[in-house]
Amino acid sequence: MCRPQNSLLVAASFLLMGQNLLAVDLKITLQARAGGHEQSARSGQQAMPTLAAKRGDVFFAHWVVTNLAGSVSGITLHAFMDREGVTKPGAGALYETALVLDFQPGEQSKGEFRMPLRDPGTYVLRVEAVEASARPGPFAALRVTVP
Amino acid sequence: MTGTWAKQSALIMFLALVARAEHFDIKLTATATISGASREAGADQTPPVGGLNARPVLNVRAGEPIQIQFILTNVYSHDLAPDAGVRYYVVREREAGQKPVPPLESAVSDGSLSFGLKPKARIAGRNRVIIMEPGIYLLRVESVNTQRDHEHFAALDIQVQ
Repeated sequence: MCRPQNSLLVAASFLLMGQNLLAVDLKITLQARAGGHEQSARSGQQAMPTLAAKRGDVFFAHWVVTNLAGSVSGITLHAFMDREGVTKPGAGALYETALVLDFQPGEQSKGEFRMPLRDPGTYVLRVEAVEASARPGPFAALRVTVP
Repeated sequence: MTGTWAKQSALIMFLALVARAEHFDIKLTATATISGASREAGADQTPPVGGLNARPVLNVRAGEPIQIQFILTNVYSHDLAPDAGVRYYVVREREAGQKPVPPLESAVSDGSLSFGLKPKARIAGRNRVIIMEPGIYLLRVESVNTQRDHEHFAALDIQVQ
């Protein structure tokens, strides 16, 4: 049996969670190109697009994170490129950056990098936001194949 | 689920590295992954062109992967600097220690981040670079557009044999 005060606490918790969910509304767009091919991805996209590259191609990635809602603080923007299936980008990652930001309404943060693709494999480039509470936020990702 | 936890743990560990950077504004490390040789550079500033400090030199073999890591901390507690950023690059240079920065169009690898720079902000990055052509290369990470009369950077030279 659920006591009324407990029900209120549960309801209040859900309301607070809802407010937090509504408070963070970031849009992430990601573009990549290599060897004359281009591919793009955006947050909320279900399927992960694939960019076919060749060994020795120069790979270029560019992303934009836009705050569509009110001010939010303590957002970690994490971007990395590593072999597909690697859940823990580490010393072998091709690329990784992290920064903690406060976002004003409409404010953007951008990133880009360029590097030659030396090793064959299937890689994933992912740009993700993590809230101050460590709850995962939106992300955009694409796959890069290097035969 | 296990993968998600592992990933979050990795991110927390990565950010913990950032959190330890309390007493400097830039720390740049380059490590040759086969020989294990490593060099580290701290903050310098420009002007003057090329800064004041002598650059450490990392020796690597052509084709040997180099692990690069930087941590930049905004130690100034003044205003927010909108549209500031961080840029890094590896570019071939004429000689070790040269002061002018070579044109970046021919950079082996480069990248940048732009954001509103808040007091005490920390930015961390790492990547893996493989240089195939022997020569001298400049590795540099620098602040951009911080609305001060100077910018900070850390740099070292890479001798590829």
